[in-house]
Amino acid sequence: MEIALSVTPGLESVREPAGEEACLIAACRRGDEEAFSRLVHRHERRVFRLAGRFFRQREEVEDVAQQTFLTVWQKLETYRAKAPFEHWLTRVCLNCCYERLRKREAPVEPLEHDQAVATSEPTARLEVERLLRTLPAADRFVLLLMHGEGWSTAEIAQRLGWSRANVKVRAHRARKKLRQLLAEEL
Amino acid sequence: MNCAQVRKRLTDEQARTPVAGVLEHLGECPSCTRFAERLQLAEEVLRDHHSGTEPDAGFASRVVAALPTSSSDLLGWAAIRLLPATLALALVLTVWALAATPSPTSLLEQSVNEDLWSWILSSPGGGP
Repeated sequence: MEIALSVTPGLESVREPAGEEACLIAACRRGDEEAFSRLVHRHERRVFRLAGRFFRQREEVEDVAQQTFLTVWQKLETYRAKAPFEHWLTRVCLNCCYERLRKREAPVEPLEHDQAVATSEPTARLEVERLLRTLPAADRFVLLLMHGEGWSTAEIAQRLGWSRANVKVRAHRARKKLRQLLAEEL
Repeated sequence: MNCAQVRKRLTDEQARTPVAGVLEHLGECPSCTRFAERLQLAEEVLRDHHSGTEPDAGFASRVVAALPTSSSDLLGWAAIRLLPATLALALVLTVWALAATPSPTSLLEQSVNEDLWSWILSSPGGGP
């Protein structure tokens, strides 16, 4: 029996035997660090890709990815094998990203990457990037999931474990805030 | 439609399809046209927003190295590491205790000497 590990658009489809992963998870639960290392190696690209959606600096992406896997290690007992492991991992990663965004409410300084782009990109794009950085973390989080990952309200609700109504309210609030910001800049 | 209605419609996820009223307004209102352009740009920025960071070869090892040590592991580690030190300390204390304990003969000699000195000091005109 095999399961497809690819759950998000843009990721190459990797097919892994479900039994092997289940064995790794069982070994991790017994405290086998070698098995955990293999589990991390198997999913690290997915976690980096997701964290990279919210954070631009390499250090931050790596910190969030590390926090994600440490949480997985500590909470692995709570994982029920009813859903694929990568769904649970995605939820853990998104929660880590969300928490970090909430803690880091201060506007983000432009990055070296942004500064390099500044010479070639139109000013309008830079202004819009600056505006988006001023959005509250919760609003930016939802907008990035909707536009960046291309997830629907139902998909966000499922992956984060939020109710659909909650996601709709947050999305509505985020779009309203974005509309206000764009209107103020005109 | 007025500007507020058009902008609300443009940012409403459920009603993104431009209706005749919106298109007509955009044709007449430069401000809302600019708003629509900015909105489109914002959605592009959100879509393209990605660091492109990839994990390096040592990432998994660093995660494993950062794993919290369990209390049982900690006790085992402490027992193994501290056992030689504990034995050495016990040995030193034993030797010290044996060395510090006076023998009965030395106690007797000490007692005689003390008696002799007290007799010399207490006798009239005696003593150093």
